[in-house]
Amino acid sequence: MVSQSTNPGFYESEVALARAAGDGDPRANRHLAERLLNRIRATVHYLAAGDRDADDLVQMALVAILRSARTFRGECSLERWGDRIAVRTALRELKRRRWRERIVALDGDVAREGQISADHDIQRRLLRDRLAHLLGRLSADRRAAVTLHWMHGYSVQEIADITSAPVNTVRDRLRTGKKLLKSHLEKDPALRDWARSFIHESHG
Amino acid sequence: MGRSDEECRRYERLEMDQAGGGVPTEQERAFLAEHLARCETCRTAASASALMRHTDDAGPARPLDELSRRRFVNFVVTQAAADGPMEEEPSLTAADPSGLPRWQWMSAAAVLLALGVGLVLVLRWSGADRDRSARSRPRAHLVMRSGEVLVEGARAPSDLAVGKTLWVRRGRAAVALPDDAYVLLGERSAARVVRVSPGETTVHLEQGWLLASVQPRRNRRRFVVTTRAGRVEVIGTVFTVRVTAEEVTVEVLRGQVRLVEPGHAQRLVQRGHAAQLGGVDRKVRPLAAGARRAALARMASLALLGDGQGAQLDVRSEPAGAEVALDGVVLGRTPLSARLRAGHLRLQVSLAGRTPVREQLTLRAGDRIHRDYDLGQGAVSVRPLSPSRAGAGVAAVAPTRPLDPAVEVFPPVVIHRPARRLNGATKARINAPSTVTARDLLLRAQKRRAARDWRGAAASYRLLLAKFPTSSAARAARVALGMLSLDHLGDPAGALRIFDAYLRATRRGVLAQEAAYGYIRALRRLGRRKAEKRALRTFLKYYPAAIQAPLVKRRLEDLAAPAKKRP
Repeated sequence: MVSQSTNPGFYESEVALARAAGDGDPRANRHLAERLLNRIRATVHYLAAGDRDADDLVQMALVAILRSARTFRGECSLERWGDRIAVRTALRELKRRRWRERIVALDGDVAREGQISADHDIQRRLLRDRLAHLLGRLSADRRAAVTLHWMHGYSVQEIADITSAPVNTVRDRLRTGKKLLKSHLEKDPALRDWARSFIHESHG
Repeated sequence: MGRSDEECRRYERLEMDQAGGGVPTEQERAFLAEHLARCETCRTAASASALMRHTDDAGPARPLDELSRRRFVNFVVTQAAADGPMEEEPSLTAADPSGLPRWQWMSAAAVLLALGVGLVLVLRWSGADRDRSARSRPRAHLVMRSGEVLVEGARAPSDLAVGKTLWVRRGRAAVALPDDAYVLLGERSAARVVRVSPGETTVHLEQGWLLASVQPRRNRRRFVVTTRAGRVEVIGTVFTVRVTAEEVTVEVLRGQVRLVEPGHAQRLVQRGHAAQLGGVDRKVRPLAAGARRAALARMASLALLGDGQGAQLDVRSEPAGAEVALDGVVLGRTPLSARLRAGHLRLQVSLAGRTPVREQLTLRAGDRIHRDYDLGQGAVSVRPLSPSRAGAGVAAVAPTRPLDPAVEVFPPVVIHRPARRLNGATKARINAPSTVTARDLLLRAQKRRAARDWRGAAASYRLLLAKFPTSSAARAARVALGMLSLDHLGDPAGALRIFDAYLRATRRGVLAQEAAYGYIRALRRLGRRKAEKRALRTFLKYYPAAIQAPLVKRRLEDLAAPAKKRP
């Protein structure tokens, strides 16, 4: 099934955008990277479990996405296709543990750092950071399954396709992730109360 | 095996079926919603996992500013162009680009490891000087925390890694930096130490206020505070920087600072003056008397703090939120954890309406002193949690309760409300000399609940509410007692009163949603349909996205249905 094109920008469709990026059009490449950057950063940071070098992995994932842009056939959205490549690249690199050399420093000119954040933005990020550290107790494969399901709502079958694992294994990984979260929340009432109060405040 | 466990397992099974693409029946959907409304564990886990849901931001990663974002994308595009296109998607088992067999890599790794170990041994053998230089490496320490303080990526309570955000939700926190520089961070403030190098210390203030105290330049190290509007460069001074949504203000108490803003000439702000950064008003004005007094009080509290080598003092109290003062200088509120300079200090812990506690402390470098004061109604008891030399003012000694270093979030500062009228028996129990804490009573109630001793659990909750009415545990106990009265004691009228009391005190409390839903259930049990209708509408107004919202809507429709049928 060909996906409905969602905001491909200057290009006719997502396929045209990916094709142009695959042909080396710098504008298309930049557009594609800009579009997927936040999503891939969030996903990879969970996969890397709050590791300080996670942004190196993000770079690798995005480079892999741009390099394989030609293979996008519009069978799903660009985001889902990007997730698949990013998760595979990050998992492979995490397993190799050879990604520790830094490629480029991310710290910009601190005097020009971004806009002021609202209270709940900072709080939400810090809570997510704690969750990411918590996921660090799981193996990389389990972390990938949990991240794809909780973060992006992928089904068990889809996660099995992305991570090349049997369906029952994915189910087991999700179950383990939930168990870990539950047991940790039992032991850490402060995190539990804070997370819940934060959710209430956001809704309120 | 309890019914609840079976329900939880059924809930998980259905949830997993849904994850597998299964569509639940109407009955199953109703069960899922009802179970979530009833089971706190499943609901909390669902809430926490919902925090991860992607909302088009960078998730746990720090958002990039425009310049960094552009650099990042440019690098990625350049790298992809240099590597050339791939004809197929990367797989999980891509071949190693070097093409070497695995065993060769393993052998090379083993040789490198052996060389590494040898190198480490040689360095350690010859390295007393190196150890000293490593110890003197500039670092940032969290030396005081009071109230709700969260540190990004913290693995230990005093750990503040460079680049990580320190967020003070309530209370205060203080950071010790190299060269005897200290930064005090106020309520609703977020900052991070961006750089600690031999040449410069830089702190970035995202929001809120900070007070910095910097000694005259040592080792020619610069001290810089950056904000979104510009930077404040310091030579030797005490100053406050305040970042709000509207403006960035700098107030200088001692010495002088240089303001550097993009596109403007630099300005010097002398002691006793204030100026705005990045605003239209570019005048340097004299500091207002009130601002000066507030900054002086904060500065005095910074003067008490020591660096990483000082003595550790942890103060807790029951109820929490008591003011902690050392030598007459207010440091913060309990629970408080601070690293202090060695010496003799007069500690005072006070709370409105309670007898204050005073104690003379003698601190030596490396000491770790815990104090847990029971400021219960009237009598005061002091319970040292670990042996210490300080003894004056100790009224009673209770068993040790260890502090949990992993818990880095402290309960909120409590708001005091008048205690309810008590009967003679309860008064006698409350006034009896005892070292029982709110937490003990809460645990006792939980144990009794687990043993299905509903009346015993209710008695423990009531005692907790009477003994520690303003503690954070009392709020949880109130809602728990309401649920107990409703579900197990057959007392919906009592439950209604309890939930009502909770909701009158706070509409935005952590358990307000549960209390509001319990209130609705109590009204239903009492058959008060009109009041229930009103409560259902109020619930939807306050918590439209609540887990119970579908049930509430359905109930509202049911209540409206007979009215529609009437001619």
